[in-house]
Amino acid sequence: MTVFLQLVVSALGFGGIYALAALGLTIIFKTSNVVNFAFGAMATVVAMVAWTANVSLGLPIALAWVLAILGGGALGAAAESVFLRRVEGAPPIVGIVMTLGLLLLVEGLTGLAWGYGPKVIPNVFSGPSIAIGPVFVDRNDLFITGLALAIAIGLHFFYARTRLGLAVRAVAEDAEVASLMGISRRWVLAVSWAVGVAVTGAAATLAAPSISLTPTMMDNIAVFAFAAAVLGGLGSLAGAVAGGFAVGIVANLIAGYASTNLQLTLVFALIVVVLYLRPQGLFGRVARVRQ
Amino acid sequence: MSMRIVQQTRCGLARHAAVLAVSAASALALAACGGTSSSATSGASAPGVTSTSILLGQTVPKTGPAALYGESTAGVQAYFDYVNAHGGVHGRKLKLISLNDQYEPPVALQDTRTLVNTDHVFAEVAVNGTATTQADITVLDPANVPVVGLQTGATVFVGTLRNNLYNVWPSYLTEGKLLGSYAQSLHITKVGVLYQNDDFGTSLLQGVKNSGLTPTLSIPYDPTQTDFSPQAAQFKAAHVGAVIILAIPGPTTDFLNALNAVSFKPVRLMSQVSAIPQMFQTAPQEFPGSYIGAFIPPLSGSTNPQVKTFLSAMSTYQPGKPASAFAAWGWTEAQVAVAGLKAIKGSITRDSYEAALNSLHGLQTLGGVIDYSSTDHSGIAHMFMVKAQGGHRVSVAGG
Repeated sequence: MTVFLQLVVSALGFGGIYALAALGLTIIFKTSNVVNFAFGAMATVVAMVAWTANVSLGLPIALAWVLAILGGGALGAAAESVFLRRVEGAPPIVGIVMTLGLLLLVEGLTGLAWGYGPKVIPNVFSGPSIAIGPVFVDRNDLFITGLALAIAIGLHFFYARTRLGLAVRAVAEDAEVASLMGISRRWVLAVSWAVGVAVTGAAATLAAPSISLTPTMMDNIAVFAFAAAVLGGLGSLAGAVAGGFAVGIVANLIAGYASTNLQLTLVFALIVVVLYLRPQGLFGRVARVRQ
Repeated sequence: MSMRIVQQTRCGLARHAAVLAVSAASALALAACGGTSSSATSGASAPGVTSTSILLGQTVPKTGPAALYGESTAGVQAYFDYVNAHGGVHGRKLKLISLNDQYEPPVALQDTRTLVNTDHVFAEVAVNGTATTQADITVLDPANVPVVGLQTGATVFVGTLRNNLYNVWPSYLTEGKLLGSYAQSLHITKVGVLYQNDDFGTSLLQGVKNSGLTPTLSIPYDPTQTDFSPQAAQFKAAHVGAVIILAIPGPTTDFLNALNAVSFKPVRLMSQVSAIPQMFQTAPQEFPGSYIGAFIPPLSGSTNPQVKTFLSAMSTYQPGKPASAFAAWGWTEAQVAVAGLKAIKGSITRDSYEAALNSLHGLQTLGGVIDYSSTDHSGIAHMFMVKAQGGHRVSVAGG
C-alpha cells in the first residue's frame, strides 16, 4: 500500500507538469483551432531564458522565472503573427505541418544558442521532501500541483468573467461575427498564443531542475502532455488539468507495477478506450447543430 | 524502306558498341591506375591516405541525451595535433572528420556511409555507442574499414572477434563484475540495479551477476525516459542498501534526483558511462559520495605522466574544451590508433594496418595497457573504483 501511495504522490510533480503543458496546448487550440506541436520546444526556450537570467545575469530564480515566462509570451505571439497567420485559411494539415516545422526549427536553434550539455537551474523551493505518513512529497511537486490548479481556475474566471475572456470565446465560436462586433481576431489570437506558450513555459521551467535542462528536454513530456489534452477533451481547460494528473498517475502506476517500457503503450491504450467510449474526451462537450 | 531501317539499325548498334568498348577500356584503365597500394615512404592511393596525410573518421553524439560523449572528439583531435607537432606518422599529418550521430542508429548509419563512401576515410577511431555501432558495422565490415576504439564494452563487440574492430574500452562484463564485487565488499546484502533496456545495459547487468551478486531488484528503463519516480519508489520499498546505476548521464541525473525526492539515499554505484562532472551541480544531493567504475585515472592533481601529457596537450591544442574523462576516452583511443599506424611496415593499406594493430603488445596508454593479437582484439582489462568527491573523481582505497 505504501508503494501505491508513494507512486500516486510522486506523480503529482510530473502530473502537474503535464497538466500545465496540456493547458498551454489547449489555450491555443481553443482560440485558433491549431494544435501547436512546437509547444514543447517553445517551452524549452523559456526554461533556457530562465537559466540565462539566473546564471549569467545573476537574477534571483523567481525573477528569472517571471522574466522568462513573459519572454515566452512574446515568443508565442511572434510565432502566431509571423508563421501561423501566414497559413490562415489554408487546410488544417498546413497548420499542423507548420507547427511541426517550428518544432524542429526551434529545437535546432535552441541547441545552437545554448549548446547541448545539461544545465543546472535551481528549484523554486529547496529543502528536504515533506513526510506525510509513510510517503514523501517533494516541496516543488506540491508547488507545481498548486500552480496548475491555480492557473486553471484563474483561466476559467478569465474566460467566464472578463471582457477579454469573452472576446476570446467569441473569436473561438465565430471569428467572422466577432470581427463584425469590433473584436480584433488577430489581437485575440496573438494573446492566446502568448498565454499558451507562457503557461507551457512555466511547465518547462518547473521541470528543468528535476530533469536535465537540454534542448530536447520537453520531447518526452510533450507526448504525455498531448495525450493528457486529448484525454481531457481538446479545448477543455478542466480536462487538460484532469488529463495531466490522470496521465501522470497512470504512467507512474504502470511503471511501478508493470514496466517502464509499457508506459507509453498503456497510457495511449487508455486514451483510445476513453475516446472510444467518449469521443469528446473526459470533459469535452459534444457539439450539437440545430437544423 | 525496310533495307534503310536495317542499315540505320546496324549503324546505331555499331555506334553503341563502340561507345561501350571505349567505356570498358576507360574503366579498366582507371581500375589499373587506382589499384596500386600506398607506400609508407612514397605517394599513396589507399582510401584516405595521400603522400601528406592520413584521414580518419569518427561518429559520436554531439546532441541529444548522450551529447556529452561528444567531448571525446577534443581528446582525439588533441592527440592527433600532438602527434602532428612531433612529426606526424610516416611523414604524414593525421586528419579527423567527426560526425554527429545524435546517439541514433539510423543517423550513425548514414554518417558512416558518408565517411566511408564519400569522405573515403582510411579508418575510424573512437566510435561511440552500442546500438549505433551495431548500425555502423553494416557498412564498416563489408568494406573492411579498421575501427580502433569502440566507445562501448558491450559483449556483442568485446566478446566477438571481428578482423577490423579493435576494442579499447574494458568489457562491460568486466565493469559490471567490478561494480558487483565492490558492492559485496561493502557488505551490502540488498542491492538494486537500474539498467538501460538495450545491449549496453544488459551487458553491464550480466557482468554484475557474474560477480556472484544476485540483485534484489533489477529495473530496466528507456533512454528517453525523464520521470524516474516509479523506480525510486520501488527501490525504496524494497529497502535496498545500494543501487547500481547502469545508465547514460541524463537518466542517471534524473534518477538520482528522483531518489532525493523520496528521501532515499542508498549507496550509489555507477558505470563510468553514467558519471559526468556536471552531476555535482545537477544532482547535488545524491551524486557526491557515489562510487564509479573507471579505467581513466583521476585527472586532477595527478602525478601520472600520461595524465600530465594529456592535460598539457588539451590546454595547448584544444583550449577551452573540457579535459574531461570523455576527452580522455578519445585521447586513449587515438593513442592506440596512432600506435598501430606507426607500427605499419611497408605499404599503408587497411590490411597492413590491421596486421600492425595485431602486433601491439604491452602498449601503455592513458587508460591502461593494450595487448592485441590476431585472435584477440579485447581492450583494456583492468578497472578500478573511484568516488565522486569535492567536485572530482578521487581514488578509493580497496577500489
